Amino acid sequence: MSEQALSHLKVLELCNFVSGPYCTKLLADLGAEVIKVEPPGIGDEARKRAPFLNDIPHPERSGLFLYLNTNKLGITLDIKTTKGRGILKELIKEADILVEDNPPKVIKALGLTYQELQKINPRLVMTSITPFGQTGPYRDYKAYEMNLYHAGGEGYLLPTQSPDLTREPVKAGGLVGDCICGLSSAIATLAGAYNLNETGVGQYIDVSKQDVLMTMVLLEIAMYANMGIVRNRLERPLLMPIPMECQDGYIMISALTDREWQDLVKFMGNPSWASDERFSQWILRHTNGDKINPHIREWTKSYQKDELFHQLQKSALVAAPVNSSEDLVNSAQMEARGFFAEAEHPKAGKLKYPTVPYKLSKTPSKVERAAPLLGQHNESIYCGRLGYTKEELVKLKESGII
Amino acid sequence: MVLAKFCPQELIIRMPDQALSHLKVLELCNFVCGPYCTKLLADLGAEVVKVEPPRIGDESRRRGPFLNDIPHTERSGLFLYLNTNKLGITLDVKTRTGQSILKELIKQTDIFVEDNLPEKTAELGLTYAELKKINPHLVMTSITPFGQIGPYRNYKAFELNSVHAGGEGYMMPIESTFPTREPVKGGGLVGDCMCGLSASLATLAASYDMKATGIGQHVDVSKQDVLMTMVGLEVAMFTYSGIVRTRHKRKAMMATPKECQDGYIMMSAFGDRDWQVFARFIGKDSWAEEERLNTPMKRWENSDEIDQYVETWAKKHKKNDLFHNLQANALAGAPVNTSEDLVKSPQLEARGFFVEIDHPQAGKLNYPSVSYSLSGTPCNTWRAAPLLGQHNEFVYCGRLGYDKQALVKMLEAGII
Repeated sequence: MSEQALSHLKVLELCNFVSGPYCTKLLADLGAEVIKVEPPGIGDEARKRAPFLNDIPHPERSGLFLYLNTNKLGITLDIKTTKGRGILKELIKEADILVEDNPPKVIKALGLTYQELQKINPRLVMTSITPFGQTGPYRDYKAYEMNLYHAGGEGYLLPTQSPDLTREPVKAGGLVGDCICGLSSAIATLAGAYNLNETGVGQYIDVSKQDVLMTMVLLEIAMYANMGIVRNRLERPLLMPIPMECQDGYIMISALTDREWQDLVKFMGNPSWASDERFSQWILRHTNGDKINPHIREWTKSYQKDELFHQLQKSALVAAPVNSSEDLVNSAQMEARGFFAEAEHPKAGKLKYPTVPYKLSKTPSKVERAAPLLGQHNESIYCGRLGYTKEELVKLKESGII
Repeated sequence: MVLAKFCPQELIIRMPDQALSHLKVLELCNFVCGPYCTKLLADLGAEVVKVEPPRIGDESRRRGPFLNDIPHTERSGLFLYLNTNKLGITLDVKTRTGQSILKELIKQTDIFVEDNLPEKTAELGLTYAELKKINPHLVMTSITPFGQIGPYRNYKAFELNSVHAGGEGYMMPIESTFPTREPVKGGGLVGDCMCGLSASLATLAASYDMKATGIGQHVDVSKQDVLMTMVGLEVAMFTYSGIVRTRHKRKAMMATPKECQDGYIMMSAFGDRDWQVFARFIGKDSWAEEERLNTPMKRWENSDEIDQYVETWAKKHKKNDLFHNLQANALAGAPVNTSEDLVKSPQLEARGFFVEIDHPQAGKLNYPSVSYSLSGTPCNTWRAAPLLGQHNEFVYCGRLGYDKQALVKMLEAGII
């Protein structure tokens, strides 16, 4: 891929499921060459996860895998074998970046620590993404997204504004926790690559997923660290803290400043309840939010969510509808931005994919390649790059190493 | 607690030995998203000059939590966290003089991050088309609710609105006991942080390209798009199959945390090996062997029975005992941590996650640091958030060559 921001970067991925693959996907979508290494026969765990196209389970038709691995090359290799590790090291010699997500003790057992690898490639930037990082008493502990989300303190306050205050905590939907970890890892990795370009020397980057979740403005953590206060998720009488119901869904309206509040009141047609002295200042509106919210709720019910959204925006008020996936795929805004792009895949056919959330004017990202089939680029990498003959490739295949 | 290496405020201009030490960034942003984007760059060593409106400053200065609950523009926890390692100046970019001074600064910078609505940026004469004329190397990043193009480009939205617009909120709370209740969103300002993270990555990629080619570019970040790229598989499901998933309770095994004597634990047993070990772990050895539970699908079908037993069982234990015992059996699990648990965690202590930074108004406070450690260029130099206009003299006189009398005049005219 020429003319992309990261066209000159060569990345090797030794990762599974979401965090690591999302990290390298972000680099691949910006133009880096990413070679994904998967275990022979089995492949990445994500291949086994729903949603499957037309609900028919198949390792080449998992929506999760297809999304997380666009623009990558895919090869198979059993790194548990000595031969496999030898080949991996040949690939590492040619890479700028290695991203891996194995527990520290596994990496050590495989002889793939940064100390070892820097000897064969001093330029290497190696990023390890693990649940609790490379140091500390929990370094070899196991945790998935749903465990870490709660370990990182994100879940403790959820659901906020719950009518049932004694219920168990929940987490945000989807695999957002893992995506945040992938994003953070991509930034640190790119900073390492930037520095490599200037100095010619690589380095080791240790990412702790628990730490990532804690850096996402959890002011509750700062409050305890500095004032000893533990906040819980009990209901507080805030002004419009949750979406309001409309005829066909929900809308989230905000009126944070005095001016916005006055504009909103005017927009609602100056109802008499709004002139209450208790609602005259920001702080009063927040402590008396429970007295205002029922009025707003009553008022929004007479609108359709998109109708109200556009009208509020025209009055320079802040609002957005609660969008379902259908709303988003059919959104005029998404259409105008070209957010969804089609890519052809040998097994999954032509599908629409979400692209990247940023547009670079000079080096635009494009979906050039769908996710690789398991071992799709074995020949081009092993024969084309490393110089193995086709006979050797057959032997490696027969012995289960690739 | 790890004590940060303190450097006298005015001596550190570029942090030496850091990954991004040679990058110069100018920030014209407000609240969370943009400031978080540049904080990530600053914490990796970039020199970030934050431009705030005179007297008023960044909106986040007026947001709680305030130290000891006393509201003060220099003591907002939100502002203090989001603006570590930056230099701070004031400038009224609505005035002609302000705009031309800003352009002088833009000439000297590698990266310009801004978060104004496109119509506002055009009004201020600060479009990329204009700015690249004065600095062809410039990487300009614009972070707005709906991006620079499309019918919604000038629409306003805060984090609360963006999260729901991006489709993140529609599925929440999952496993709700009240399936008809309103949707909610993830806690804190996590939506804005994700947008800052994404913007930071794209900015860094463009700078990488700029160093290789010498030519800058415009990076247009849409916050709604960011939220949609976070594996919203529901979005993918609709594009594949036209199915709209809702937040109603679905059958699932151990989908939510289980209550313990002193809090909650989130346990997972995916795969057959983990299930067998887990069954023995909870004292249900027979479940490890039973054929009716020997595949993930069969366990899913019997999840009501499994969950009911696990719920009763978990109540007899403490969350951290369970956590460590699960891990000793190589099972995935983690306690639902409160902020107190995290601040006292031996793991975070060992990683040196919290750093103590001194600030003239807020004093010495503990801050979360970064979530990654770089072996060659560690993020180990910490400067507190700038006071409003703290580095005016340094930047205007030192960098742009204004004399002190000129500075006083600009101050009197309200331009800085």
